[in-house]
Amino acid sequence: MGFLGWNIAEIATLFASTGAFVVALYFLRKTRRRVPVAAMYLWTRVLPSKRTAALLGRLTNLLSLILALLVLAALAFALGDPTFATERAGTATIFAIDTTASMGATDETPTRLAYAVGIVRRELDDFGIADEGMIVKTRGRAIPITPWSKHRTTLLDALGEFGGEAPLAPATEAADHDALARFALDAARGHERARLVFISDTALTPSEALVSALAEAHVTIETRGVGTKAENLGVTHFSARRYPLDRARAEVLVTWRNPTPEMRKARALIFGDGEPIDVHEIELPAGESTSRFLTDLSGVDRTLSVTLEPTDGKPDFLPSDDHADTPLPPRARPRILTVTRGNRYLEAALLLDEFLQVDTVTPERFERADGYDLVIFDAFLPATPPSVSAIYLAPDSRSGGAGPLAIRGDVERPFFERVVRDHPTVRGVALADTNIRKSLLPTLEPADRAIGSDTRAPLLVAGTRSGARFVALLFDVRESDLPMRTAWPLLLLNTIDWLTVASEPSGFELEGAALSTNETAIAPAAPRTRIANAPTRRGSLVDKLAEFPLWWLAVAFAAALLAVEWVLFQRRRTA
Amino acid sequence: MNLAWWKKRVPFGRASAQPEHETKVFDASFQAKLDTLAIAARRMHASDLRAQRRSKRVGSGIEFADHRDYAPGDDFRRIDWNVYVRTGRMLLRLFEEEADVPVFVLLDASASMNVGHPPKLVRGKQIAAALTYVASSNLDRTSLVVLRGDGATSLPVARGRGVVVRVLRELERLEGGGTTNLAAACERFVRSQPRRGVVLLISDFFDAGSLSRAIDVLRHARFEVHTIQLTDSRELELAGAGDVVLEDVETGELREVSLTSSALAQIRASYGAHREELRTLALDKHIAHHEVDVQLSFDEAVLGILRRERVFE
Repeated sequence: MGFLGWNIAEIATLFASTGAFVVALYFLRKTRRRVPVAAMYLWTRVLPSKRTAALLGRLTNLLSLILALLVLAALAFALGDPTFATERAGTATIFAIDTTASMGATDETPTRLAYAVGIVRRELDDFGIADEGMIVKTRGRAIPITPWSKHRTTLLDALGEFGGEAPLAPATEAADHDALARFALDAARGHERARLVFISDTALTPSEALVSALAEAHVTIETRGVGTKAENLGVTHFSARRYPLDRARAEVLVTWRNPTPEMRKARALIFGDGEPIDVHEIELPAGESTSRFLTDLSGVDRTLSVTLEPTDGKPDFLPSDDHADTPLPPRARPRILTVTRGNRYLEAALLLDEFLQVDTVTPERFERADGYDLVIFDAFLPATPPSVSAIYLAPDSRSGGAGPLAIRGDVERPFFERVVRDHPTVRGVALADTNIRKSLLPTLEPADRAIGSDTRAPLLVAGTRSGARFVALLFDVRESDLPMRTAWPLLLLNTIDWLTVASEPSGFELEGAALSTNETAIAPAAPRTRIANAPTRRGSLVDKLAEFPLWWLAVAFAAALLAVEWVLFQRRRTA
Repeated sequence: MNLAWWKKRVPFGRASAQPEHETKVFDASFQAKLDTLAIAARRMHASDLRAQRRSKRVGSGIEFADHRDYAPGDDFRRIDWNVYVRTGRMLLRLFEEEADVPVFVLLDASASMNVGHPPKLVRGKQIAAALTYVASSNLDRTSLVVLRGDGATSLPVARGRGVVVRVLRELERLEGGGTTNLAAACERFVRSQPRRGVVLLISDFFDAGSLSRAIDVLRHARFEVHTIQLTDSRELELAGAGDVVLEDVETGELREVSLTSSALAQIRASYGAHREELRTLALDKHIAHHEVDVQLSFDEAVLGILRRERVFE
């Protein structure tokens, strides 16, 4: 016999201390109460025969003490959680519950996840006293929510954690089966017999190497399948962006997927800041994804949402992928300082974006650019480089000042012969046939990047100096026909966007999250496990007896003793 | 009669330790009920004073009682001439004469009356106060007699509601103590009291052997006797089981006993036999006997039990 709770020394200490207390109470009880009576002669009519019972009374009192000590001993014994468990090695089981979004499907009641938890509970019902268990949830990686434990109640309590996870939020990360297998390999180390029980709507498919490693470590892999249906429609991609030249308006890219083998019809509701702003009736071809741009959405400041509702009367078992939200890029108001002696082309271009907050100073009055997001130097170089991002127009360092680039000459009539098209500053900008009278010939540092260049010299350079980014246009726009072109304000505003919006480097990138397409396809890949028919591992009758919890027998024995004590000493009979 | 001032000044017995409903002896409605009551007397006792009680003696009252034949010497004005015209017989009209009855409230104040929850003496004081009040309201002459040991201490027999105040003050001062010897105490009372009347004896009657003699003493002295026995149905229940030391509250005698449930049952039976013995004695002696459980409320005890038992009419 062994003890799973308190050890024998602790039990003995408890019994000794409380037993002493009980004995002290016994001796206190032996002190007779004094009962005043009005007529002793009425008592003496019956008491003479009762005095002979004094000895019996002492014996019954002693019996009362013995009963109390027996009750105490039984309770102390129960605290030890005694067991007849033999020395046989138990099985260590890792219960890995898939918590990816598809487990929120409602084809099981109430959800696949709840059904999976039920399967684990059923497994724990067959848990032996020598068995150990660990609960793990998998979502991209394996996260243990319990350590190894032989206490079934500990594991059952941990399962309560899954109650708060429904509905499961969509996730872009799919279950990482290799990570789970590696975790199982590590966790099973030191256990002679181990099992990895994977409860999921997908099959466990770790790499061959990991499967072999698990087999060598005597870790068996079992899968308990959940899920019965595949009907589902989902939003698999939803993102938004503001227009660069009209940041009050935005467009969204939404992608719907119908993983089922038949055409489905649905209604897509678009919400801006929680208010409905658009409705689209859509048809979703079987097994295909459909993407659509929804343009010219206005009046939205923070959030765009889309909700998908089937309109063909067919079920949609995964509600969590029917809705998606995306934040709109923030509409910051960049504070821009222009240092110029007067440049109408520059001023006109800046006026095109009403969101810009522009201040202008002459070079003579310029001291610092603190408090601004961006400073534009027009044919002027400051004595010290600014600590904020800067745009340099014709930064000729030969005339003095601390420019980002060392100028070593001029280039006559250059052209934009090479342009880095994917750079945000030149997106949508046509510079190829721009006529320029002359440009500066700079010396670039290794990290500098020539965005546009002639064969002889770079014309548009981006780089970083002292932690602040800069863009240098190496010619004076007034000595070119660039201001006459739509490319000029686009180039300038793209550059301002790129330099001022750190979290939105492109200024026209899609923002938003999307489900992985695997999560929208909820068709169960593993055969469904019926809870009622889950195989039992319970051993022989001897094992059952050995695993029988004795603590409650001890408690029942204590209760029986209390009942006897009550009948003998406490029960009152009324006439 | 408003006794509100008295309710504040004269708490009964261990009133401070009792619930409010136990200490609040009189309120306006209860007092009104008492005012409607009169002490019933089976026999009439001669007295020179008129009261509100009808006597069997015909006299000079105003309520017609009967006719009798005229005899020489009778008051000629009382002849019923109407009857004479119709029948030719000379009959005298007789009227009931109203007379008062001395009421003696005998209260046992021995130490045994301190036992009970509430103590029987507290309930005894309350009942004595109520009886005194009712008797005084009917213009009966009333006296409170405290029995302790073989002594009997009486307040003067007096008429009128002023006697209530004196009785209540005496009850306020009264403490339980001493032994019980009802026969000797009753003898002393009879010797000291020349008048006869109604005796209301309030006691627990834990007086082995002298009960019969005490009642005989009162009966032979031509008192109309009512015995009011105070009991406590929870007295034995509170004793509990186990090893205890019994202490006789009157004699101080100690006795170590082991109380089992069967022993308690027998003792309960012994108490029952004592009560039955008193009932039988009352039947034999032709006296009115009343039992009042102190667990009953004061209202129920005074208005319910005593009226049901025809102490009041």
